[in-house]
Amino acid sequence: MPALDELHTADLRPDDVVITGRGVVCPLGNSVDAIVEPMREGKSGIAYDPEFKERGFRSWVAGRINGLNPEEHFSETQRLSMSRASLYSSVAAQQAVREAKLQPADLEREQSGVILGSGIGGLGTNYKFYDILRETKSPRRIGGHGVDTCMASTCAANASVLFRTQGLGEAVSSACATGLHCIGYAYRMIKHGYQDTVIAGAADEDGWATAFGFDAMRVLCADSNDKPHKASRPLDASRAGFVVSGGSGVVVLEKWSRAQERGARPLARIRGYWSNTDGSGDMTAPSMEGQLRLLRATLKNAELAPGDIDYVNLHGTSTPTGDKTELLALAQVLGPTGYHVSSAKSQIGHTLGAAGAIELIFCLAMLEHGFVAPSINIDRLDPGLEDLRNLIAFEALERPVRRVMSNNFGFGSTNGSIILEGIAA
Amino acid sequence: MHDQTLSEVKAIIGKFSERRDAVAAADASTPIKELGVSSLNFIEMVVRFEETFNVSIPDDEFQKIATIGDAVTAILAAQAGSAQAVAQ
Repeated sequence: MPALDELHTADLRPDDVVITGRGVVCPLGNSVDAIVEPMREGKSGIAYDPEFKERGFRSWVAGRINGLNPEEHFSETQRLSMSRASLYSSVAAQQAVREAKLQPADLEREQSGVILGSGIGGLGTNYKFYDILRETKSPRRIGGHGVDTCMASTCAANASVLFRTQGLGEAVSSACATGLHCIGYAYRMIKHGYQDTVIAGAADEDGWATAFGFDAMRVLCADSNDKPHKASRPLDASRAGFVVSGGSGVVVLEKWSRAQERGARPLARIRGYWSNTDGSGDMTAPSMEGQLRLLRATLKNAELAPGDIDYVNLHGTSTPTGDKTELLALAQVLGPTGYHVSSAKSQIGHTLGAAGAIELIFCLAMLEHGFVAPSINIDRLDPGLEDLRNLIAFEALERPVRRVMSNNFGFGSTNGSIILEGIAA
Repeated sequence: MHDQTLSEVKAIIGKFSERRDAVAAADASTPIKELGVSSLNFIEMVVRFEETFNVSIPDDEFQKIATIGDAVTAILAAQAGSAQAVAQ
């Protein structure tokens, strides 16, 4: 690999958008520090889930959130407004705000906002309320939190209330591209001067409630119920569907002039972002044409050439069609050599609407610590991708990473791509 | 005011309050909303009253609950109404 030119804080322009804080709740761990080594070591966060089996699912494996104690983070009354999705996003947002060293005076102002989405909202909580309604035939028995816990904007609403921000308080929801779109929307809001500080990201719940629709579609991996760690295997010839998961990723985005003014440490610069739709008329089928347009537009927005990217986090869900289309499209735009790719979903499964945000946290860890996380479980590469074998990080690669791209695609033919640049310490 | 009911009502309010110290010091005349009970938690709290005392507080009585004493009155009235209904 050629020596990489480093970006220093002195190179940043006042209107650049930088990331100053990160938070994560995911099947590999519930903080950024907790996930770095498991990422590097290629650990799997996927486990057997007895609830899936009990409910008659084809797939009995999932990424679950473990070891998160809500009482440590929020009061009993605060928790009443939270579903699991908004609990996860609130915990991740707390972490991000803490790392960014944002004080109440930095947040309680009109230039500070929240853009936190969810692909599915508080669905598990919604089902609990429905059970109460069915049993009692009395909506009043649900109590006062039948809406704020379940609504599509529950993550944004809870963070806005927690941090008392006075600017944007919104949720973008775009299926499995939600997290990336929320962060991209926040980037644009800052770039165009509407905000200077935004807490952005997404969350989705783990567990059967968000999974059964996918199981019914037969898109979940059902051939590895006895070996959960091997179930999520993007790019492998035998891949058999994705592994459903959940969690949250949240970042603090700031206009560099604002971050500099308050002495914040920038972790990365957002170099470019784009979103589009395929226009294919299909709800779920991946479109190479749509992805090609997306990738080219992202590079153009970032004012970069194909050779400028060191690493790409694939959406890479482990579905037969999606992975192949994605890598072939990527190679058409970035070329067949000169960068590496892997899929975070090989380790944590598909965290649905949170994917783009959690995977961005993975990318930030790689920028910070100088490694490429592996795409695990590729025992035999899809023969149709053999020509691109050199791109794939089968094992962790210890190498400096200067610029990363991360891509996500969602139902409704919606796509997103972002490019981050690391900043030398 | 029924002391036992008052005490139990205060304990329930405490679970939905951001100012539990203020709840401990409150008396029957204290407005519940001054005790850091949000509007959504207020509804949650009334459901807890109903479950704890095994009563149903009618909507028009629910609307009248402003102070701790109002809550106690509504609960006692609902209990009396239930008892009367059983007697009939």
